[in-house]
Amino acid sequence: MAGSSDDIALLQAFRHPDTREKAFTAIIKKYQEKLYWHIRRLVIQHEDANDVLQNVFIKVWKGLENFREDSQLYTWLYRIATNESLTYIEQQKRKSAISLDNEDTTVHKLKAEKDFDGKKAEWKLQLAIQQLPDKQRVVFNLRYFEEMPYEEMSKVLETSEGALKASFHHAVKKIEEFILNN
Amino acid sequence: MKLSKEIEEELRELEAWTLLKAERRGCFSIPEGYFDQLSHAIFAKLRADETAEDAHSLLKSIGKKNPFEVPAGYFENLAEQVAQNATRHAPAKVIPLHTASKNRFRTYMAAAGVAAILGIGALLFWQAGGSAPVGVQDMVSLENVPDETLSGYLSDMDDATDLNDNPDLLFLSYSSGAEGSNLETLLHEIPEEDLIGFTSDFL
Repeated sequence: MAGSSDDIALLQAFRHPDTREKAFTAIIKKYQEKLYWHIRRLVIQHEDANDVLQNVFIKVWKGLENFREDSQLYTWLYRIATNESLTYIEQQKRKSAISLDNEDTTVHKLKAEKDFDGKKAEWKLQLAIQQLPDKQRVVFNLRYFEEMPYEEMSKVLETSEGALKASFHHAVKKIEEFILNN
Repeated sequence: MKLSKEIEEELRELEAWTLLKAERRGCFSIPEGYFDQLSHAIFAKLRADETAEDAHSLLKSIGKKNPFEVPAGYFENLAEQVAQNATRHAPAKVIPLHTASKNRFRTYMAAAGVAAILGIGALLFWQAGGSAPVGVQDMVSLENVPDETLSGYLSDMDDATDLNDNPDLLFLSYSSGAEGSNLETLLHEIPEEDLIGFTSDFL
């Protein structure tokens, strides 16, 4: 159930030593932008997103041969990307807990972005999203920006569809409130 | 980017009017050509990891085996050999580290010598210098003369004698004339030019 026929063909090519690198390059080209933006919306800075994304693909390289194909390739990739991003955010929070800076790490990074303008709608939305707890933020991003169906999201996050719907609805309410109050 | 119908309906149910109106426009910027070179960067990292892993497994295969050989019975006889060598050789010459103490003694001696020379010189100077000004000696000796005698002497003197010509006598006349007086009070009463003239004789 690796997904599309493209993905199945890529997996078969990857398993053959002569075509492994070519197949892997094709997988990178196919999924790099989707995964990048998913990671970037969570970690905010490009340098951090680049580090996480490269780590994700290295894990894919090492684990793809043993990929069981009981889920779609793209679901599996999103799961790795989400876990790597959340782990990275936790590490950053631990580091910033040592410093005296009280502002949340991702909010701080968002405000430090080159083109940040708190008055513009898209930046205000990002600020609102950063107020959400980490996992709720993942749910909101996957649903609102990626338009991922709840069925697929439950496989990525290994959570029930009902819990994910509730999480998304709470996230929407908090964001609306934040934007109205700010 | 327009919302799909499914998401739009969901947001309407939640009355999320802000999110419905918002354009899902990206606000983050990325370096130009980033995605073109990403696969190369990932392969470079994979190769670096492989090299590190190869080096690690090579070291692991070598292990910590010692390639050097040691003569038979070397460690058993070592203590005895060291003891023998220690008694055979004369103790090494001890060179003191603190030579500064000797230099310090010489410095103090030199300073004492200079101080002695200066002290002897000063002593000789004072001895040769000797006497105080004449007027003071006279004043000291006059202290032993009773006041009645002095006033009698002064009153016997020729009226033509102008005490102002003789500052010493002028001073004495002032001091003897005031019985039980305070010298400081006397000095205040004496005109300034007379005092100046008196002191210039001593300077």
